[in-house]
Amino acid sequence: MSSREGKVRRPRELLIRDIHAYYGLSHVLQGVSLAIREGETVAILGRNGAGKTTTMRAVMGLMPVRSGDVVLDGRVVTGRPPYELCRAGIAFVPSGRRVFGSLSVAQNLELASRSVKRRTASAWDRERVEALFPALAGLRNRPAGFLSGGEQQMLKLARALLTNPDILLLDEPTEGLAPTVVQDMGRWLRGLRDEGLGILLAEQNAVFALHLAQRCYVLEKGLIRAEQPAGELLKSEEGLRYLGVARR
Amino acid sequence: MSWGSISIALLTSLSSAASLFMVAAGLTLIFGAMRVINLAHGSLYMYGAFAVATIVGAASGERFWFAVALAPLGVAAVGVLIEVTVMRRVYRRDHLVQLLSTYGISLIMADIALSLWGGSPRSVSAPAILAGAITIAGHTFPEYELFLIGVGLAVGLALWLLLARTPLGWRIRASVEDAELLSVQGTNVRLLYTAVFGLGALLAGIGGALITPVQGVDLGMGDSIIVAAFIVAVIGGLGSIAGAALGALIIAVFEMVGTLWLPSWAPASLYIAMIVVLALKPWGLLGVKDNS
Ligand SMILES: Nc1ncnc2c1ncn2[C@@H]1O[C@H](COP(=O)(O)OP(=O)(O)O)[C@@H](O)[C@H]1O
Ligand SMILES: [Mg+2]
Repeated sequence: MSSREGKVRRPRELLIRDIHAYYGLSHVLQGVSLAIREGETVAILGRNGAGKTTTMRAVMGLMPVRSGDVVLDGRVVTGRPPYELCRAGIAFVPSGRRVFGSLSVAQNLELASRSVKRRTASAWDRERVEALFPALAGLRNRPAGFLSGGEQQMLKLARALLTNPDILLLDEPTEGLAPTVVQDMGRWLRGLRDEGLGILLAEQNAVFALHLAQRCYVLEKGLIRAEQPAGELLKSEEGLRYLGVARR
Repeated sequence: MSWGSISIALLTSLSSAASLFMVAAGLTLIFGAMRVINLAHGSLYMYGAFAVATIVGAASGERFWFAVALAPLGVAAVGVLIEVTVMRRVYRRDHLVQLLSTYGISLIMADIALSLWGGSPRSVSAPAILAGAITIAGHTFPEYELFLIGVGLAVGLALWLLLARTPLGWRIRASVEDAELLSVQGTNVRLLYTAVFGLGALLAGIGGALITPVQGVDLGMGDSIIVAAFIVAVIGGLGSIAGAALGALIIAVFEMVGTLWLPSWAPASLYIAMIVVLALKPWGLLGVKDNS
């Protein structure tokens, strides 16, 4: 933890307390509570449509929270606009090919680092990001729309890091990736966790998430059905079957 | 037809394209980022022209440059006021609500203009330094309109530099692609939209301010420019600045050809050009398909 020296302070922490959210009349989040601290990886698992993405969007201020609280380091931030949450230290990496396709890789990165002034002890800058993702250095002038799926995933992660977050919300980071890139992703996320980032991981790929996470929440129809250590769920025949993971 | 008169006709087209471009660029910039058609854009243009006419007043000449520098800024301020009070409340509403809102704003602006400036047209003469004319093979062309062509080019270049080279420009382009993503990366998109609307209004203001020595200033000028600017933006592809430049050139040339050879068709030339382009390219020449 060399990068986080300094005076003693309480660990960074994101708390979600009993949040409810709606799409029109449909009650999509029916009281979701979860907690995530720095240096910890937490998985949200659940079938397609369970509410994983919606949970992240609600935290990030991208959709209204009808009731309940989002608390960051003891401060209630429910319903704050997304850019404030970003500047307060939460980075959201949405699923899919969400890059600015007509902008170059360098411009994509530049926008993220320019928008956020906060400087943590271990501030991320272009050099550090390119050291973590050497492939990006060679692609600086390429329009981001022309990157491969794996390269776009790198860019999305790099961009998030440049906002110097304490907490990373990752939605389906392995979706559509080749197996070797999935392994890279695991390596990157372990590295980031060891640097002290808190990572919340929403995944269809339960095995990937459970190998990475310490704890996991199982979400079903907008409700937390279970919270348990990842290792336990990984051993539970019934739990895995529920998550649609076939035993080999 | 002599080559002299053809060059003059071409230059005339270019000067009308320059001023059309400035207005259409503002319209298309606002549409690109916020997906609204600002029907009050023509009113902003008219305000730019009246502001110049008012500042110059009877003392033509030396006050012209001062007026031309000041008026667009005033128009931009009006644009910011409109954005903050009305537009930001309707971005998420459906297109009909947006159209009615901007139409309503244009009606209010027309009433205010009538009470501020009265119903009688004004005229502004070109500043002394540009009051002359050049001669090409016996035909004359006003120096002021050459200047207007130059300003059109400069504005186009400045917009290109803004969008291609500056972080603000990248932000504007990013917001066109995915505003939500931009916001979760720390950009205050609300503020960005205010800035874009202000910039669009500034362009309308520049267009209106600079047209004053070329044509009379009257309350109807906004209504005629908004139709032409809209067609220009649609032909070029709504949201595309380069498309607005191309569209302005096409429309201006079409109008010239119509006026010279088919005078009775000239008023329809705008619409004919639009129909032809849209039949071939439904999203405009440089437009991209809108998936929203
Ligand atoms: N834009 C939307 N409009 C209406 N309903 C939606 C929308 N997005 C998601 N939903 C619904 O909300 C529920 C939760 O979706 P989501 O959070 O995307 O699930 P997950 O990420 O776990 O697959 C689903 O029933 C889905 O159909
Ligand atoms: Mg999802």
